[in-house]
Amino acid sequence: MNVNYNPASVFNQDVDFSFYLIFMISILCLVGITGFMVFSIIKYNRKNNPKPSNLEGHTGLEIVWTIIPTILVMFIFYFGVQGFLKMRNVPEDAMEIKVEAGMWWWKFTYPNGLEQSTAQGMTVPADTPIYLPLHSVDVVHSFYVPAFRVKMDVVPKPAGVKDNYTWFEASQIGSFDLFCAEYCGVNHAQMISKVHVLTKPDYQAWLDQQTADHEKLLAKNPGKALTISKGCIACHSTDGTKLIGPSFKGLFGKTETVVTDGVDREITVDEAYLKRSIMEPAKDIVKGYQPLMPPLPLTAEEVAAIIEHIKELSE
Amino acid sequence: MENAASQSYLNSHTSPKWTTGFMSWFMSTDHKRIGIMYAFAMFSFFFAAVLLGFLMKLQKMYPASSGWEIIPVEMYGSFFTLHAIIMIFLFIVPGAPAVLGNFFLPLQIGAKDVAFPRVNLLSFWLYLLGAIMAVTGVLLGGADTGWTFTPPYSINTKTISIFGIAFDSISWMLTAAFILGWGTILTGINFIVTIHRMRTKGMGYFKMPLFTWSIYATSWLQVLATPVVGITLLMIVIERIVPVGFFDPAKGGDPVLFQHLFWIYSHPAVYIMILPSMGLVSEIIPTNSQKPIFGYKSIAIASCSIAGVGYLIWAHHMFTTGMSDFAAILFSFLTFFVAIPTAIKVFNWTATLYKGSIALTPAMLFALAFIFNFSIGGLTGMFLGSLSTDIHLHDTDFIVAHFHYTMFGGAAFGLIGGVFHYFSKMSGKMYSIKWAKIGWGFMFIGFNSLYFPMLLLGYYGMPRRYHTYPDIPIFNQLQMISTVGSWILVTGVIIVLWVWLHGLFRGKQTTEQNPWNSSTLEWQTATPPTLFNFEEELEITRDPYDYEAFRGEVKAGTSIGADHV
Repeated sequence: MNVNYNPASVFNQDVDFSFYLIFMISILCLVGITGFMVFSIIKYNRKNNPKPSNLEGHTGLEIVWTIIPTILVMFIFYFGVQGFLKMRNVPEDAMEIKVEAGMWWWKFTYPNGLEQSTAQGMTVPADTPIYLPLHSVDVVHSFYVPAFRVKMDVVPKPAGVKDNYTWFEASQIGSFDLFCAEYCGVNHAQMISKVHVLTKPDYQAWLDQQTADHEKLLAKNPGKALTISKGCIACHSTDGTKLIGPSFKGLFGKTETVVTDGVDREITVDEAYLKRSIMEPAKDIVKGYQPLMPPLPLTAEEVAAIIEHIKELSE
Repeated sequence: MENAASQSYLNSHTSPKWTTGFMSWFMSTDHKRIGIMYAFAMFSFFFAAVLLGFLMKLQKMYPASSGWEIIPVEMYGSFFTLHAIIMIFLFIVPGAPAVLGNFFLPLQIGAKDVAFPRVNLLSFWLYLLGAIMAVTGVLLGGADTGWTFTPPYSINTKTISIFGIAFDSISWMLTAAFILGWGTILTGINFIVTIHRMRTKGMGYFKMPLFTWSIYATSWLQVLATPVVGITLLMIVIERIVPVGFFDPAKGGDPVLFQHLFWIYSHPAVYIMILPSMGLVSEIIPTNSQKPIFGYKSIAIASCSIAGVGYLIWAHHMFTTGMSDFAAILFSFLTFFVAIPTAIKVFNWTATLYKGSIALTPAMLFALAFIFNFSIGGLTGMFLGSLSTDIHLHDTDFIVAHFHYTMFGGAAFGLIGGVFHYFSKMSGKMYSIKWAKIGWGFMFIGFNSLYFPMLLLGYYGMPRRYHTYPDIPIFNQLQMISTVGSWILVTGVIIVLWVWLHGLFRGKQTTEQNPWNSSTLEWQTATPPTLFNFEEELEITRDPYDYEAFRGEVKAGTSIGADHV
């Protein structure tokens, strides 16, 4: 089911009220203007009315149609600000989920440290304010959930400057589309995820389950767990499919042509190469791919675990 | 010389003696010839960009899950970039001032030419140079930043190499926009000086026709706003070539600063695009109603207030960038003040029809369609000026539709109407009125069925600049209607362009000076006008739209009216 736009957050009331207010005013104006035009065209057609008047204006009428629109737009302005201020003032008790955006993925970090990315979406409890610091690792993206009437650009900031933020409080249970709304390159239209809204107890159960699953996987196969939580699999498939980056399947031991500083060279994928590719992703770019991967803050153990997992997928 | 001057401008010229044929146009400093050259160049670009738009709508016919792909995903960004660069920088910004302003501004104020005819030709050459650079830039390098060049994407993105040679099409295109800006600034200065210094005897400021007023307001915007964007785009070029950080956060720059600088130009630019068409509508409606325009002074003053307030509201494009809440509220407040003079104009045009004697000529149909489309464009602007609704609608198809309602349904419809209005004066030929009206019908219906669904799509959350879209029933239906609308619209555009070309080459010769029985000065010249426009110096005594006085003059034989009205 696609519930893309039906009202689903605490902002809807304000935004939709403003929307319908402007909509009504617009319809009245448009019908009035068009109606008057059509009436005049018929009534004062050259055949019906060969002798035009020489009417040059009417000051009283002009004052009226200056003052009335001024009053109307001030109302519109006022309600627009009301809704906006609500969006900008985050409640004290909001729960924080960190949002990170890159070409072309989303990553969500929960208060307990659990990380999930585009494919899983963001999961939140209903009727709980969620505070979202928005961090970009490369270009400008925009966090947009139409059903919540929420949008904020995810702007990369110079070191030391605070990131943008937004917040929402979902009022409906369900899954809602999350779009990137600022053009960010070729796969902009694929930068789509979901926001899943659960009841508070369901959310808690979900979080416990996910965290436990992740820890279990981390113990059993830490590499696999990390490729999921760090978002690697958004761009690197594990079944041989070509996504934004080369697939992990069969990668280890393969001979690849890479471009280093603009020069093509052939290499065999080994541990040293994989390590370099993870730590300095822009160094060697496999021919046919774009230099898009951001450097990730990983420890040496985590890198080793991911390399182990890539080896497994090549056996 | 006496002889040459009293001949049609099509047969005599002031170009260097050795020039003939094409070169006698290309080297001509005659404002009329320059206007015609702009018309050919601009409408060719317009048609090319319409075709790009047509393909983009075709691409959106079916959702992603259908596997439908007309434009490969790698090229979609280049498509909308090229479409916008052509439509904005090569068509609608030079727009009505370049074509009809050049041709009719001197005629409307009773001057022989613009103040600096050679600078005028230089403007045209700069326009051509910039146009060629911009188009080759995208075609060769596939720049895909959109016309907004938002950094850091526009700084970091590598452009496609062609035949193995790396080609920095983005720097190339930015330089092109810089050169185009130069041409615009020179034209602006030229027109301002012309209006200040070259009005004929008796033509006070409030005796100027409204098209001249709108060109005047536009010219000030061009002169004051264009330098900002010129420098800003150069800063991106510098940033792409040498490692300095104006806008790239990785080097300590601020990407939002770029957006401010960009919109300081690009918001006033939308008034550069729309004001001249408003001026044309202000000519077409009184002529075809045979009565004075309602509230002449308030329309003239509204043009200038739109230009003035329009300069101060740029950041309403940036409510979602995370700029300070206070700034957002302030800019929203100021934005609503541009709505008022705009509304006044629409009311005045509509009121002009009251008790007129209305003829539905092709020009009039386009002017009336302008009022309808532009009203929707203006009213949807309120959704975007209001803060909370803008947060939802920003960067969706709603914006795209709003923009096209003002710029295409407004500015371009006005310009096309203006060309129909002035066609015989410019060319000495008459087009097929029947086919012009058929073309109008297709364009009007097609336009609305293309863009109205896009307003709804945006309301339902469809983001802009998407190559495909998720399979959501409401998206699928609306996209389909919109695509079908684009077919009707393109048919209309082809008919209109064909009517012009057919009129130009096969149309009936005409020397009728004032076919629509218009009261303004430009219609008192010969058809087509002679080299120096007016045989003798004129003196203006009445208001430009005083039709009663005009009819008296026609009776007395001091002014020329239509042969049969």
